[in-house]
Amino acid sequence: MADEEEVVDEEAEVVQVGSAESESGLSPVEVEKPLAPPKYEVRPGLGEKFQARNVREIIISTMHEQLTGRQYRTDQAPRWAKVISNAVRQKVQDLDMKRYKILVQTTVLEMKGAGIKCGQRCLWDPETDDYVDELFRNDTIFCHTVVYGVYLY
Amino acid sequence: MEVKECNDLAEENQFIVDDVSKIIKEAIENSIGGTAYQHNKVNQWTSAVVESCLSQLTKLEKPYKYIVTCTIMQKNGAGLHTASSCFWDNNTDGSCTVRWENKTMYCIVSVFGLGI
Repeated sequence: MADEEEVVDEEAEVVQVGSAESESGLSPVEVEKPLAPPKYEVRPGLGEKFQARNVREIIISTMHEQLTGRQYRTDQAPRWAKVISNAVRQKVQDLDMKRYKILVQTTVLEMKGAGIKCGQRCLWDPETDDYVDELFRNDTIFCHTVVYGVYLY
Repeated sequence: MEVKECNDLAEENQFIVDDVSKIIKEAIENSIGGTAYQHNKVNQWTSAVVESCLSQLTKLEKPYKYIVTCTIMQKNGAGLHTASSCFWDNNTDGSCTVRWENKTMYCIVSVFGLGI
């Protein structure tokens, strides 16, 4: 933000001095590379769409890794939820799907007989955006993780 | 470069948590305000909350994609923890989670807004 202000001031001074010096006047300013011409691509390329199958495997393996053999514990559950969602997000980012924004939401529940219902609605472009969700169950823990991939035009 | 940054700061390109939080609270109050947990009605309730949230969000007429999730859970002593991790642009994107409860149930609604 500060840089922007400096650029504006220097250009104003250069204009006052004279047009002959304006070109050389640009060198003290940070050299701005010319922007690449726009490509007008509004869809991911072939093979660049959201990789639902790979993401599903990542979710299943991460949940199993973190929760197999464990019993629900009130003091540890919030930590598990954070660790799982951060780990899944990092691994999905490593898949390097270009121009995709990633959201991961993990819910860890104690199995105590409570009734529960989850619903979701998304307002997006179904041709480019997608989601994957998976469950993990054992005697006391019920874990649900959902990963959303949203394309940035 | 300058033009892009101005666009990011314009009001219509920012996720305003207060407005969204108000919308969510209204949607919950209107759908499940005075009711007690009923297993056969939960389906309708989650749909109602989520659809009402989404329709109010679209009325804001912002260049955003939205994801709304709603969880309704009966109160019986069980524990519930939710975490989310996001890879996005902090200037334009945001999330808002509202936790609501009455004597028989908990309702947790999360809205994620992603700028186009």
